Amino acid sequence: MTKVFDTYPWLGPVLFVLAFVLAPLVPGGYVLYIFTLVIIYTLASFGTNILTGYTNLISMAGAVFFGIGAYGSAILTTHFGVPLVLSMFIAASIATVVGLLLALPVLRLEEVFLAIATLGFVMISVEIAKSSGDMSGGENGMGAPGPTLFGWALDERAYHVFTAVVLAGALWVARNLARSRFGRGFLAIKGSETAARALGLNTTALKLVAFGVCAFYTGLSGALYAPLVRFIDPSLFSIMVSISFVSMVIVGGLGSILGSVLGAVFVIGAPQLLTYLGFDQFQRALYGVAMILALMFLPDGLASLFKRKRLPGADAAQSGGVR
Amino acid sequence: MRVMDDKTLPSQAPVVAVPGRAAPLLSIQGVRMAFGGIVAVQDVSFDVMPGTVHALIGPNGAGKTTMLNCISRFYTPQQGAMRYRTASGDVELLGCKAHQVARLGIARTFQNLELFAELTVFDNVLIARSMAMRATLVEALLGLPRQRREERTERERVEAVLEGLNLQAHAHAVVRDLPYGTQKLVELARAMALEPRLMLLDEPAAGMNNREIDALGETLKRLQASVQATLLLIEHSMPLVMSISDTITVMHNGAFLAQGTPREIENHPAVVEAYLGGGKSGKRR
Repeated sequence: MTKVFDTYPWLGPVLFVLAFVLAPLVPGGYVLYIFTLVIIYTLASFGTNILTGYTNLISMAGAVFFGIGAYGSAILTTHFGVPLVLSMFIAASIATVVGLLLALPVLRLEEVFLAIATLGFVMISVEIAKSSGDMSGGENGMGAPGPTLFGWALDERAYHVFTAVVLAGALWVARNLARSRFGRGFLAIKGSETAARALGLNTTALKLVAFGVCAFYTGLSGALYAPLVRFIDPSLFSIMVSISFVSMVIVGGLGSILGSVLGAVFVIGAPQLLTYLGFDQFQRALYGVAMILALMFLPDGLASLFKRKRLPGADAAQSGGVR
Repeated sequence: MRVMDDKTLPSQAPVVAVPGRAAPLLSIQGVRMAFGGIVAVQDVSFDVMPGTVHALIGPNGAGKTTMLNCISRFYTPQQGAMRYRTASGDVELLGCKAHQVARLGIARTFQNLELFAELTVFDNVLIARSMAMRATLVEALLGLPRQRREERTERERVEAVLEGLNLQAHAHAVVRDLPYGTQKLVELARAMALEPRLMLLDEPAAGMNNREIDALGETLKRLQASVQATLLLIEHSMPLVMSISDTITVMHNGAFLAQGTPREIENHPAVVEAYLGGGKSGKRR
């Protein structure tokens, strides 16, 4: 299995497009909805991976960025008549600014301390969302308009393809980032922050960049989510949302693009599949068991099932990976 | 004197020679570093002259590594001054952060290796070339021409550095998988890639056998000649120190003990006493 993917590097992306983008268009309906959801969450998974997998910063603030993205896009389209695509970009940018502001005071913290500190932001943001005014509906939440593109309403299939295109663009940008001094700087911080500083890397600035990129991707993910579900409420700012992002990256595989995808598939797909198979009652418990098993037997993530390929930028991947 | 800002790059221009006596590249004056009640470095002063190999020796616990950590600004001394000469004037290192010190052209290696163990040798060295890259974040995200051009040039530079240390064969090996001696060379290569004017080496020969130490001595001399960097090294291997050093500074119990040429130091009574524990001189209380 591993060898096949190393010999044909295009095989992975092609299979992904076939299985996750094109195939679900056929049945449509609920199946398609689940796959659109997976694509949207993969975006957040990428963002989290840049922060956690690359830079080794564990942030629990994912829900804050996701919620800002969703609310931002919904409010801009509903109340200000901003076109959807533009609103998504603005909302993700707002999430980025918030991400940078949140990161500033907690950047000195490491590992679990950073995780707990960022958890505080989630608790604050959910209260803000609940007590907010008419514009966002406070505790009751608000409706979000369905997807449109240049004035045309997108049906579920068109929107699915739209999210896939956004994901492809995001992937391309992430790849560029990974192969630049910034991406290597993230890996340097993960490897040895002491050495990174001794080599002239401004680690504080690099961590801010990582936070910013993570917030942008997660915010964009939220902005794509709102038009899909058409209704958002303060539960978007729940700790469970943050935890699901981090679990995607850890279950899928830290520092791996494939892992980000598989993680999103697992975290979103597994509970759905269990429900479909009739385990409705024990769905959460079985999902928990599945997660424990995955980590027990694949500590490097689901991606290690296929190969131990790093995100591009790590030289190992460029020179053929496994040897 | 000026304080570094992030944009300032280390100048590649040679130090302007002052007629008569050359000015020191680095001047350490009255540095004191204490951790709580423990004084690790006490009122230490010495000059490092440009273009020399300067060894910092002393028994374990003499404060040598602490001194190095002060210079590279991982530590902040409570007292003292550390003047560093650049082409555009003197810089007080106390006003710099660790990454700014590196950008001034001061590279270092570590006593216990600080490598990016999960990355390849090539990537380890390439990371050291980051500060030569000017492409902004946006240019990097979009893979614009300047980004791609820089990436190409710097990759070639890395090839050259690896070649200089005979590491080409290991270029794409993951550092973790390499033997200890090779890892030490990788750390040296990484420091070299900064194109430093001053290299701080913390026990480069530690853990090496005699043959490897001889080879290291040759390598260091060759490197120093080819890049005209100044070396400040901490080392316990006396044959190595004696064969490559121009000047030796001896520290003992956190204080400056003596300084001189290898020959002067070899026969210096205080140094002999510090190393042998003063048994013969009967000064024990």
